[in-house]
Amino acid sequence: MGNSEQYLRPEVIQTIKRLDLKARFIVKGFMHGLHASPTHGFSVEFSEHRKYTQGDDPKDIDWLIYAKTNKYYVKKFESETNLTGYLVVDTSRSMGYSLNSKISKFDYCISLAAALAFLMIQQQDPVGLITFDENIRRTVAPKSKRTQLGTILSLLSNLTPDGQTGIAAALRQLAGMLKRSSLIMIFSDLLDDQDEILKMLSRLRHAGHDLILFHVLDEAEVHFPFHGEVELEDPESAQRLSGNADALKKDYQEALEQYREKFRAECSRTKIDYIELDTGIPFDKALLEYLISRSKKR
Amino acid sequence: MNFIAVSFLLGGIIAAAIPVILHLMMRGRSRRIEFPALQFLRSTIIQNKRKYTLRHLLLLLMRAALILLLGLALARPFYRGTEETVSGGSPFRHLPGNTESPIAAALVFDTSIRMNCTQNNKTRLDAAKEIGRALLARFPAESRIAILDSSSDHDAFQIDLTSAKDLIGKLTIKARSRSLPESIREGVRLLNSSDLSHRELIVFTDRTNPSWPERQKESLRQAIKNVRQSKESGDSIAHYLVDCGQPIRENSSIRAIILPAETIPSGKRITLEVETGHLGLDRADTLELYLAAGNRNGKEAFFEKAQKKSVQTIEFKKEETRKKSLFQLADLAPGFYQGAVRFTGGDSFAEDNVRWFSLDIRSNGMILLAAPDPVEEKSLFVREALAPEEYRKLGIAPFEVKSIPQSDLKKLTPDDLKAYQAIFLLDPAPLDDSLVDNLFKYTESGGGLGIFFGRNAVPVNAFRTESFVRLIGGTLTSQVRIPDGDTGLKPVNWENSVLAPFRSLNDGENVPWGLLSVNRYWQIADLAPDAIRILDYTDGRPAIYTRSIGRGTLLVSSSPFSDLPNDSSWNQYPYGEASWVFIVLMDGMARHLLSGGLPVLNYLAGENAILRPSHDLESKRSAAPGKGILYLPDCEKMELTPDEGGTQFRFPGTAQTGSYFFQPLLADSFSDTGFSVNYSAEDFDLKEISRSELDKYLEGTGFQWLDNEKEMESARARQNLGQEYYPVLIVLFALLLIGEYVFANKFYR
Repeated sequence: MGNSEQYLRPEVIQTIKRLDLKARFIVKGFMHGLHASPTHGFSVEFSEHRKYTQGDDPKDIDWLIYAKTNKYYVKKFESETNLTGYLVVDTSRSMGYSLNSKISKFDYCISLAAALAFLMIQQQDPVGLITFDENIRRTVAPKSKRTQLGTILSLLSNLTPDGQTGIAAALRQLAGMLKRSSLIMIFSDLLDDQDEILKMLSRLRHAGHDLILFHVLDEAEVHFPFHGEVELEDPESAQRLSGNADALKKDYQEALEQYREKFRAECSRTKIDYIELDTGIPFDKALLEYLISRSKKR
Repeated sequence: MNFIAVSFLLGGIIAAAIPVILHLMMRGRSRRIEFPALQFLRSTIIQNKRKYTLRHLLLLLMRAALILLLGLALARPFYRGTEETVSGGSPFRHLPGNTESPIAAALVFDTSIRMNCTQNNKTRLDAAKEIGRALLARFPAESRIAILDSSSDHDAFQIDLTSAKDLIGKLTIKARSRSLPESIREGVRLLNSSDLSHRELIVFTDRTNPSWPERQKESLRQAIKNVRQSKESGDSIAHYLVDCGQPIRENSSIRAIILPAETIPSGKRITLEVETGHLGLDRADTLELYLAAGNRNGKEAFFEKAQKKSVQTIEFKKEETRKKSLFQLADLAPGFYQGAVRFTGGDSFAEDNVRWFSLDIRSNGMILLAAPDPVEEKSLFVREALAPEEYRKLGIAPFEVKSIPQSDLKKLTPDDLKAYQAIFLLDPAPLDDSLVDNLFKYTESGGGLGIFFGRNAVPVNAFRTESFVRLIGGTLTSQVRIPDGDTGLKPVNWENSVLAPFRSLNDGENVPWGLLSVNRYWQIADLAPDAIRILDYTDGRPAIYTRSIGRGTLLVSSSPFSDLPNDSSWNQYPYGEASWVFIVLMDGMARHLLSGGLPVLNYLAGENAILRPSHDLESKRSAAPGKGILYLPDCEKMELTPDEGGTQFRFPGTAQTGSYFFQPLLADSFSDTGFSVNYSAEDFDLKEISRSELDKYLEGTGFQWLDNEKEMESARARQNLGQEYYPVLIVLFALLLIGEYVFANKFYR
């Protein structure tokens, strides 16, 4: 991805205060990187375009592409995609965790969600927003208009992570809400009852929805960089555990890996896209995963 | 257990508590950290709480043990330490672990002639002295040092280190050397008498065979073992060997000169047998024979005056170790001669390239045999032993012998008797007092009288007169009969010149004395104190004895030498199984009587020399010998005075090898004489025993080799400290450190 990579690093994005600009920056940077790299096997914009044929309205020609390629391409219309997306963002208190105040899981998720919203709307895909903690709190119905982006971004930027985690309950509610098959993009740290979460994911899958599960953890939650005697406190339950961090590290990482592995296995089985992220991973990876998933749907 | 630096141990104990204290302090001071993902730790902590606690404790113990182990190692613990103080010294010098405690040491140097071998431009003894001085410099002050060598001149502790060092510098080669085991035993005895707990015995050896005689191996081992067993603390003397020898690659030596006799009748051709030895490659050496007559200036060195008589080239082949060469001397006029045989070339051991000898050429001695009738038969055996008929015919008989009937003796005047150097009374009948007196005077004035009692000594009272008792120095009492004839002779005084001819026969061990069987003999009682028994019967009674009478010599045999072989013969000396012994014995007795004793002219280094200036009865008898000047081989001179009897001079200091020449202070008071001194062939035996062979010789004694001063230091440190545990503890520390690292990484990974 070349130079774009460094600009897609979370700590760089975090310096942009406005969420809309963040989203734009992420997407543009990602797009630029994609074009610059010969390794990718597909072109984003071409997945949303087709060659101009006799009878197409010249107003639909994407002149940006023409400027770059001297070839005529028209955008595919929304009706040609048939993809309604929901950004489902975990806003429980645990999502607000950040060890070194670089970027919290929550900020990471909303930046990613904003970028995806930007991308989808740019491609005229309807996209909505649902936030939850132990229940669904806010919803924005999916639309493909450009104003939808502003609505979504406005809501996202005003969110504050709070409340207890209840992913399974929220997903159950979500399942009841959705009438048509949709693309559900879940942004969460998944720090909850794993079996219940998997059960609900499976249920959503059975209902015909496509799911992309963005499992976002803080870097500290992945690497456990603590030493010496520590007293760890859960910000949601206020539960505390004491121990020697150096002694606990190995077991913690094994438990985390087991946790993730179960998600990988189950998601693979149920054909759910499972994307492991932490707040240190550049956004382009997340976006790439989204696009790969999108391309399979075409 | 003792410690060199106990402060480190105390520090280690204190420091080992630090991890524990830190652990206790830090237990309540955990950092509080907000962490949402507790669900991944909850079960781990609950399930493994005990495991974590044990791991922590184990690591804590390992770390505390590391600190403690380090402190213990640095404290340098050892198995044994010093105990008591030396009077006059600070008691604090003897706290456990102090390596500066005084040491009692015996440095034993081999100062035999072999240590004069030159290697790397210095002698072995010089090399040993250098090492000795260097070792001495490392001894703590107030150590007590004894310097022992191959003599017993200074078997005692020296006053201080400086005296000991000076004494080492003064060590010289000793002519008469005791073996190293003897010196070592003396060193052990000295060290055993010391109160100091640190004791060392250091032996400087070139590993030559003669220094380590096999027959002394067991006594040495036992002496050292006895010391070990007497100490409660076990081995308290450290034994060290310092190798001062190097293999000799090439050496030629003159091992021996075999003379037919030291006193030889004039007119005889003399053959000298020279035995040489060689080590190394093929080589040709030139051997020269020198001779100097007795009438030389004693102030001149031998080779300045001596004439070269003969030269021979000897071709040595590699591995050919021994050779014999013959030199002839002829037409030597009567007189005293000194000679030498030497190699003209040089090698690393010069002492064995020359050998000395002395000879006395004498006119044939006249001996009178007074025998009972029939004279010819009764004197047959003695006459044939002294002057065999074949030799008489050829004119080379060693003695002139005349036989007369005993009855004719009393007809001879005292002057007539003087014509004979010796008179033998064979189986005498009773003699009248005047004849006994004449014989006494004859002997007193220098003649030799031999009396061989037999069946004719009856009545025995005739031989118990005052004059006869005065003559023979004893009293005939009765005859002793041995019908079985199972009594023989046994030597009791090997030093007497009568037995000199037998000494060369493996020190007389090969002489079948027991075969000289006796059937009857006279018991002689009340022997005079000056009577010297030469041979006894195997039942313990005197058989042959001698005594000096004035300037002459008496020899008495209590069994005859004249019996013919028949049933009534008193013994079978002349014709028994060992008749050759009779012949050699007769020769020895004759020479003993002829010269007032057979002079010994050739000595081994270190022996006491006895000079008997030769006296011609005609011209010399009247003059007392008086004082004389003895010229040593290095041309230094000494004045000697005769002993009480006035007939001989004693000289104990034959340390130098070479020719010693003796001249009277008063001219013509006696003839020139002298003697030669050599080392024995064994003294020159440079054959080495290997280190492993010497280790086996000293098995069980605890001797260890020292190849340099550093080994001495470390050996002494081990000796002083006993068994030190520092190396073991450091290895344990390293292993524990590795273990802690591995365990901590595994634990905390």
